[in-house]
Amino acid sequence: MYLTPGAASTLGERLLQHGISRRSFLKFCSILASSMALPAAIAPRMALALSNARPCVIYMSFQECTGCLESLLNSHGVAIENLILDAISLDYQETLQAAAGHQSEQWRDEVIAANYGKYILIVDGSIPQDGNSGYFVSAAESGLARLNKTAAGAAFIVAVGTCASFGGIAHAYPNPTGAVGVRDIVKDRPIINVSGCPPIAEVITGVLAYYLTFQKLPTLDSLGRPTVYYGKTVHDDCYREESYEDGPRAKSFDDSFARNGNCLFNLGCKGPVTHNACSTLRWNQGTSFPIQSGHGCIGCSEPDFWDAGGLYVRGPEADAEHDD
Amino acid sequence: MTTLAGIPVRVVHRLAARDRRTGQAQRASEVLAQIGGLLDGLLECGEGGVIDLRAIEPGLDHDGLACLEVALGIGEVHATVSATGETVVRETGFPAVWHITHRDSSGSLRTILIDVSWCPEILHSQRADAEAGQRRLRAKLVSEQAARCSDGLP
Repeated sequence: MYLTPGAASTLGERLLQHGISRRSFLKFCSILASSMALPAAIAPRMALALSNARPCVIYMSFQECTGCLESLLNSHGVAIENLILDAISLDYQETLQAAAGHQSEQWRDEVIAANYGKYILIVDGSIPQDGNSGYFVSAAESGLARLNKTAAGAAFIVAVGTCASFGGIAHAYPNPTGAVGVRDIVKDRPIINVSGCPPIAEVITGVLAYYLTFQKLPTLDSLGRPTVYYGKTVHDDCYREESYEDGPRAKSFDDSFARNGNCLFNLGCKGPVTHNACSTLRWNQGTSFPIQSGHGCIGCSEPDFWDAGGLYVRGPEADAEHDD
Repeated sequence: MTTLAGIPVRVVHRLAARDRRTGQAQRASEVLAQIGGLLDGLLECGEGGVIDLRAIEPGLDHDGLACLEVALGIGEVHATVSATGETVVRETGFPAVWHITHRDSSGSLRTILIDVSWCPEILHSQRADAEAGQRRLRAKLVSEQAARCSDGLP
């Protein structure tokens, strides 16, 4: 991603500037369609729509650790999924942009005015619900005011990460800042929650590509998450799943069972109750995911996971038969 | 009184290896029939289709994919596209039925498609690229002509 003032060229033009051929882009669309469970034949239509898209994106950060942005940016090598992220017109992002102060604030306001009703707003971090609390203040404005002002003209909002989706770690007991997610504040704009701590970068890419192709939001679950990525639990497609039922499960970290690919449920894995695409998409362009690395799922894409009990405490639905 | 927990019901997940292979061979036959349907559509109405072999339900595992590949056979055309990783396009033993494998730049397999069409879209040259190529070629010809003139050549 790079910040560019002025009118955005098409996504196709930007990709060519990056040395990405049209064939590469068509290939990307085929792979993306597959990951989103779309009909494979839709790839050419997707490629055409995306090539002509001029997405304007404003990225606002609130109470966050920058982990979600890092997840988006730190892709090693030329990952085909990140072609869109490399080519969108990111018109405002406080961590990445060199500009600061009044000029950057003015620039953002100009972008909003010029693209009112059409820009995509990406938000990470939780927001203190009380605008007078003083817990988040930027450019002399509360986080609440900044979010409301920026959200008003957005075509839709992508709440990236569990903090922006549900409040995240700041929302955890005792929640000293009164932190909440975007959906608890913004009620009149479409919101897609891409939860996770952090979320998988390809999920964000897929959401953007879906909207730019079809000009509508993907199907969302009851928590506002795209069902194509959050419709299954981590457990459903976990390669260790067979030994969850039949045993033997791992008894301690890195024991022979764990290294043999057996279930980590007894070590606190929350996979059965966590909806995410970690088992299928995996991380770092399909390299691995926590369970593959020998650590149980901590449930980071679910609301209030920090308050859901110890990370290494076995869940209550454990089968007593496996107490061996 | 026996409680629900006392009923000795055990869910069996694993199929015997032989049953699994038989099931996969059957599934491959079903996919082959689906391909046949798409080929009928291409010949009768000009509309084929694409099947994502890694996304179909129920899916094909390694054995199932191997069964399908054997059934489809190998045709005359084998093309490699170097576009952010390697893509291999093979016409199968059934003309207009193409087997496409997309790999990313790290060599990881990303998807396997069966494309029923006269020619897969990824093999086509795009008009915009051809126009850009035309400009480059004309500039090259002008440059070479200028170089010959400066050397006193016709």
